[in-house]
Amino acid sequence: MTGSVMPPYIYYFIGALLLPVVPGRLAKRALTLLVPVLAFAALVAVPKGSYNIIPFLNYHLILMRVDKLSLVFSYVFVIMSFIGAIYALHIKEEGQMVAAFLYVGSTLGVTFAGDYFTLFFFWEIMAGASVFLIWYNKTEASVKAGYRYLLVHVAGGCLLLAGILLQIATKHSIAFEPGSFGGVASYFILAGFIVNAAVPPFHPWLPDAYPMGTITGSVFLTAYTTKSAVYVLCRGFAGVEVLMWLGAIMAIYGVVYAFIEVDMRKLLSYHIVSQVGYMVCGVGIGTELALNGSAAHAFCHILYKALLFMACGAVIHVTGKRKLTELSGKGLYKTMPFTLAMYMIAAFSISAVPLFNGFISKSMVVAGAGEAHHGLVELMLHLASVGTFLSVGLKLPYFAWFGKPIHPHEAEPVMGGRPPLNMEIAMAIAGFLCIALGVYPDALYRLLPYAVNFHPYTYGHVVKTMGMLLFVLLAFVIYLPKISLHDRTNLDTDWFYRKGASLLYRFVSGPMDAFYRNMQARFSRQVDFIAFVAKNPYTAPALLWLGFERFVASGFGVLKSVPDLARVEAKFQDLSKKDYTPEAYKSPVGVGVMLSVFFLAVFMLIYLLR
Amino acid sequence: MTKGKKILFAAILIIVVALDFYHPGGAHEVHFWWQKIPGFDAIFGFLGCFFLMLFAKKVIYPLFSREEDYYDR
Repeated sequence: MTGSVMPPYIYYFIGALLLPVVPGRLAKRALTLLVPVLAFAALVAVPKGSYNIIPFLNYHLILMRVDKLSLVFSYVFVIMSFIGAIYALHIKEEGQMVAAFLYVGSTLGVTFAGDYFTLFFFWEIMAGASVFLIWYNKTEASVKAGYRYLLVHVAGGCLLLAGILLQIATKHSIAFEPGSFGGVASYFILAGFIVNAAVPPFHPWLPDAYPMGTITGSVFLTAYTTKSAVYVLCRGFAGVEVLMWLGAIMAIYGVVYAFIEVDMRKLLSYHIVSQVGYMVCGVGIGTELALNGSAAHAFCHILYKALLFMACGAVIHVTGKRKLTELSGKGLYKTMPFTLAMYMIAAFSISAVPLFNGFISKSMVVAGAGEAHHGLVELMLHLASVGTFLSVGLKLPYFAWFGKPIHPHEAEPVMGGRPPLNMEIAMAIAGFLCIALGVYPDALYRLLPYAVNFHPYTYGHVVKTMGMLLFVLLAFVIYLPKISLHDRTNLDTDWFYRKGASLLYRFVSGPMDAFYRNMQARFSRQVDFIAFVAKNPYTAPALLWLGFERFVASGFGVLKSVPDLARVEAKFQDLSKKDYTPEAYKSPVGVGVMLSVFFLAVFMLIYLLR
Repeated sequence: MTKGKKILFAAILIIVVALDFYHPGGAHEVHFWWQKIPGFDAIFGFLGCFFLMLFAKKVIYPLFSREEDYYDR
């Protein structure tokens, strides 16, 4: 059970190192595709158990903890990296792929980490590597969003580190084990985890940053950070009831905000919050069915959410437009039908339409809520499903591919065309997997951490789901004439740090700076005075005395015109004009001799009297 | 939508609700009373969808929507 194995994530780190130095576009492309394949081979070969255990201080670092839970997440992470690599194959700058490989590698590191030190190490690389996928977009907005993203994740990392250190202090252990909830240490660790899981109110980094990433980079971003957070929650915090409520709330929170968004990728980002809500909720319920559901939903979600981002990315790549207000009425269904078809596969998957993969995973979480008799939670998740189909399945595709022009005066020609072939291939693979898992769920169910005794394709389940979806469609069709799109910013909880930061800046550059300058002026006046007095050491004592006299004569600096003050002032000015010249003070050599004699006498007295 | 499509759509809606009244091979697993109501999911979908659209447009949007360059000023 122990020993050492080849960790699959090593290939990503080697790939990231080699990619910049490999010569030629063809070799770079080959390497990009080879890395996920090698990692997948390593993943299939790795046996269950704990490996690569390294003694460190008084603890043991476990680099590879392989069990069903870590494997199911790792499989989808590696598969996704292959799809993402194909999707990004046309990108010329290799830096993006280096960042993506570091990001994927560190996520796998988190997934296999058996202790908190290893976990934290990879956790931080994840944040540092992924931010480059945002910065590579190279717009001012993406640079700013990237900094905000990084700061939030560094803050989350600090919470995690604080929790780990507290655990070491109280339990003398760095073990990352389930059932550790309770106590201050676990609160900090949980807080660190839910920042990455984008649980409200710590979620706004996600819809803030993901739409700002590069077209290909955002596809990677959607898959890893939140889902690795779901994994660590599954591992460490299964059955923590507060997560169930937070998950159900965030599932609805996401769909409400998504409905008023017009930026395609921002709308989809809010649906990541919503979908991760199902997973967090499943973790909170904590039964075998619910935990299976969370893992299965993470697996399916990665595939269809990446496909949604890939399809919208293809639209942005071809048209250069990312908002529904700019795309509506441009007739993209005529010029980009393949992308529309792929988008709709993903949209049906996320909406849990039967025969698509969301149907077989989302229903597990909902059934888990039912089985555990949480009626309200079950209804909340149902409501989130309604909103998901509304925004992702109906609103977005309607306005992006069909719709009427929002600004009729902008008579732009019909845009569109085919995206690069590699993009289409990547979309096709993801689309195939979405349908394949929907049609043949056992392929996924076999990978889940617990034995599955769940059948999604019952008559009642299919009929009820179709009834719900079709009546959502009816409601949408009725309300459609009233739906208007506006280019607006919708405030979210990031308002607190975005506005708070500028308030802090104003406070620092205003009152704080004024205080600083005031203090500096006061101190430099004293320094000036000392320098002024010290110009002539011989007159210094007299000047100091006169200065004190002047201070007293002026009534401690209050009075201005007192006869006495004028006299003292005149004397002061007179004396201060006296420059130090060696010649003027040569005569009193005797002063020195006298002082020496005086001190010697004093010392002698002291010596004799002791 | 043409009249033919409207009729087709209405027919599908009616059929899908009607199918929920009849459950061959035992009922769907029931945990709560509302799961016994035939067509509950259809009603829930319809009303829920309206609730979400109106809540987002009439409550959240007026409260939290600002000019596009809100954060840049």
